[in-house]
Order: sequence, then C-alpha cells, then structure tokens
Amino acid sequence: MLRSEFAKALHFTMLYVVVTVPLVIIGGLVLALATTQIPMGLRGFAIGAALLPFIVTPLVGALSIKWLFRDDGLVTQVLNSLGIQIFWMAEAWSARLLVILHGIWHSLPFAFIVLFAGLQSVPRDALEAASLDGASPLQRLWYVTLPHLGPLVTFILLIHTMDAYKLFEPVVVLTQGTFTESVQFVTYSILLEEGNANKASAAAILTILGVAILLIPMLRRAVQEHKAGAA
Amino acid sequence: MRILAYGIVLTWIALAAGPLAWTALLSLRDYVDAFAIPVQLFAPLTLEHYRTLWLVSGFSENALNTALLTFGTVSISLSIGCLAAYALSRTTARIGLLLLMLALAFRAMPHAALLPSFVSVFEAIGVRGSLPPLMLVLIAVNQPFTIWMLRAFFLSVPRDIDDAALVDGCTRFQAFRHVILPVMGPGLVTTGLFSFLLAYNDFLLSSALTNAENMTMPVAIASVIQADSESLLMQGIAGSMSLTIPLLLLIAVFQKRIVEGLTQGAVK
Repeated sequence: MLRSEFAKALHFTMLYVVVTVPLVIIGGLVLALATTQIPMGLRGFAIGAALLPFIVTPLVGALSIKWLFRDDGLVTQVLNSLGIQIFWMAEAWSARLLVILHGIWHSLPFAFIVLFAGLQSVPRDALEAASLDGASPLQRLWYVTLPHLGPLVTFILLIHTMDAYKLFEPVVVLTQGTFTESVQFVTYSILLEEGNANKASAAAILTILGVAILLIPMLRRAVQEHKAGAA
Repeated sequence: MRILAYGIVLTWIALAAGPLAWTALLSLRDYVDAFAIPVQLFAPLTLEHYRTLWLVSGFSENALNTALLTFGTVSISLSIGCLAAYALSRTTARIGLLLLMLALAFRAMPHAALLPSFVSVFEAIGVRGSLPPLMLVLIAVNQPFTIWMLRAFFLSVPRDIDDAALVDGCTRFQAFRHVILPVMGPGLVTTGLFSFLLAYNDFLLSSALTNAENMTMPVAIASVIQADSESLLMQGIAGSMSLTIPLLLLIAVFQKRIVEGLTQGAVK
C-alpha cells in the first residue's frame, strides 16, 4: 500500500525537480545579471520585492496563487478571454502544471539571490584581463563568470531537490494531494488523516533515507571546508 | 542593455508581488465583486472582512498564539544556539565536527518525517494540542540552523580577542558574555530573523500539533478556508493579508540582513 503511494509521490517529485530546476536556475541567473545593471539606489527595493515569494508565509503564497487560478479567478478569466479554457484543479496535467508554476514562483528568488551574491565575488582582474584580450561581454560571461558560479549552481540544485521532498503547502492548498503528491504530504496525510502512526513512521524512515543520499555530497563539502578552515 | 535589464527586473517584480497585491485587493472587496465574472478592475472597497475576522471570529486569539510561539521560539533558540555555537566555533576537538555534521543532517530532514514520533509521544503524555510542546518542536527543528549560522558569525570574531580576555583574568564564560557577545549584534539579528520566520510561517507542524483553542494564524486561515462559505473565504483572504503585512515591514527594515542570511551558506 505504502509502496504505491510513495512511488506516486517520488514520481511527481522527480517530474517537479526535472521541470523546475532549469527554469529556476536560468531565470534566477538572468534576473541576477539584470539586477547588477540597476543603479545602487534602486537595488535595495528591487531585491526586497524580488524576494517576496520566498519569504512570505508559504501557506499564504500558495493561497494567493490559488485565488488567481480558481475557475472564477483573474488568470483563468484572462486566459478565457484569449480563448484558452482551463479548469486548473480539475485535471491531472493542469493540476501538476499549477504546482510546478507555483514552485518556480516560490524558488526562483532563492536561486536569484544566491547567484546575485556570487556575481559580486567574480574576480575583477579576470574580467579585465579577458576584455583586454578582446573578449566580448558574452564571451566574458561564458568563460569567466559562469565557471565561477558553478559551485553555487550545484548548491542550488541540491537545496531545491531537498525542498521538492518537502513540498507541502502548495500540495495541500492547490490540489489537496490529487494528481500531485510529495513525500512529505504522503507522510503527513497517512499520520493525520488515516491515523496510522506505524505506516507514517515507515514513510518517515523512507524519506530520511532519501534525504540521506542527497546529503552525502553536502556533508563531504562541509567536512572539507571545516578541515580547510582548521588547517 | 540597461533597458532590457530594467524590463527583466520589473517583469519579475510584477510576477513576484502581483499575486499578493491582487490578494490585498480581494481582501477589501465583497465576495460578489472579488470573484465576479467578468473580472472587475474597480469595485467598492470595504474593511468588513477584517472587522469580522478580528472582532467577531476571534483572530486576535490566533495572533496572540502566534506572537507567544514566535517570541518563545526566537528567544530560546538564540540562547541555546549562542552557547552551542560559541563552543563549536572555539573547539578543536573531533566531537565538534561530528556534532556539526549531525546538525546539518537534521536540518535537511523534512518536518513531516519527525512528526510520527512527536505526535505519538505528546499523545501518550497528554500534552498534544497545547502551545509549549509545539514550541519545543520548533526550537528543536530550528536549532541546527541557528547553531550553524551563529557559528559562522562567531568564527568571524578572531580568537585572539578571547585569548586577550582570558589572559586578563576573565573566565571562559565572562569572556563570552562581556567581550564576544557585545560584538555579535548583527549575527544575533540575522539569526533571530530567520528563527522568527520559521516559527511565524510554520503551518505543517502547527496544524498537526495544536487543537482548536491554540491555533496559530496560518492554521486558523487554513481551517477557515476549508469551509465552503463565502463569508469565511473572504475572512481567510483578510487573514492572509493580516499575516503578510508584518512580514512586509520586516522585509523593508531588515532587507540587508535577510540577504546576508540567505546567501551565507552558499557563498564563501
């Protein structure tokens, strides 16, 4: 029984990660690059506003998206007037798409701010040397800036994948778990709706094993950093 | 180039703030205007839903619960976290590394994976539903994060300062209390902010561990919305905005600290 629920949750989690990761990272990078072009005085406001989806109470964030995508919501009606009729919560593909759209909206600010901070630390002399050697802005981006951001992209990828296991509020709010399930939602609903603490514990152990696999590279990195710091 | 950059930033700000701005507008309308077909751009505004929510439905109780919970969680997490992080930043023993790695592992655990054991134990000793056990769980869940973040701030205070204080005859605790702690202000604010956000925003643990009398604001909003009533839905929308306004102020005041906290783990 648990096997099929868990398999479904893992299946959706994988779909979610595969679709959202590239969009979140590329979107975050584009926004970060754009923000570096904004004058200092406006940056503070721009960053604060850009971070909203990530900081606001997750329940409220998910609800505000739901209210836009109700059958009589703003987005649904605007699409309707363009001749596109979608009942978002009624079908599997649209319910999944909605959770994925919410995921991009929620997670992009984190990728943005991490990459933006990374851009501040791109070595200036490397950039200058590249332009002295006649590299175009695009070449400088590709050969100097992006390699520098590599480790951060890995970091975002790991955090985002772990967050996908934890997906909870959007699942509860947007679809009540139909068509879209996350590992964390499955554990929660087995425990509180089925009232089966034993089965929920089994789900919890499976979750912990899954997270442990993702954790290994992070722990290794932390140990290395620690040793480097001590030496 | 610059125009393109402005365009991208403005588009994202519109996408980021749009859903919340629309929710704010909905909260000030009657149901018939809020979800009218076709969409109404202009409609009469009203504060009725806020009034009913706070004065009739007792949302102030939920606000009080959230306030108590966040205050308790932040102050206790910071107190324990400071002592632990200071020790971990100064130790050279192997156990320090082990503890830090354990903390990192626990930080990554989805909260629901911890719930079955908490629920069974609280049920067995008859405390499930009240606020103190929930606060205990939030502190436990928050602690690894506080320790890691505070430790990074302690590491930035040179060890020589401790040594100087110790040579001058301070005990270890005096050195910590009178010499190190006073320069830790920014670290405490940043860590406190994220502890605040964790407790204030929590829905999963709070909804599983509180009963009807002890609901926090997010739990109350969720329970209101499940009911199939237009008036309750509008109250839920007003409640969502009530919960969001303090956060907006917080972001406005502490934006730099939030950015610092978000990027600290990644950029070194």
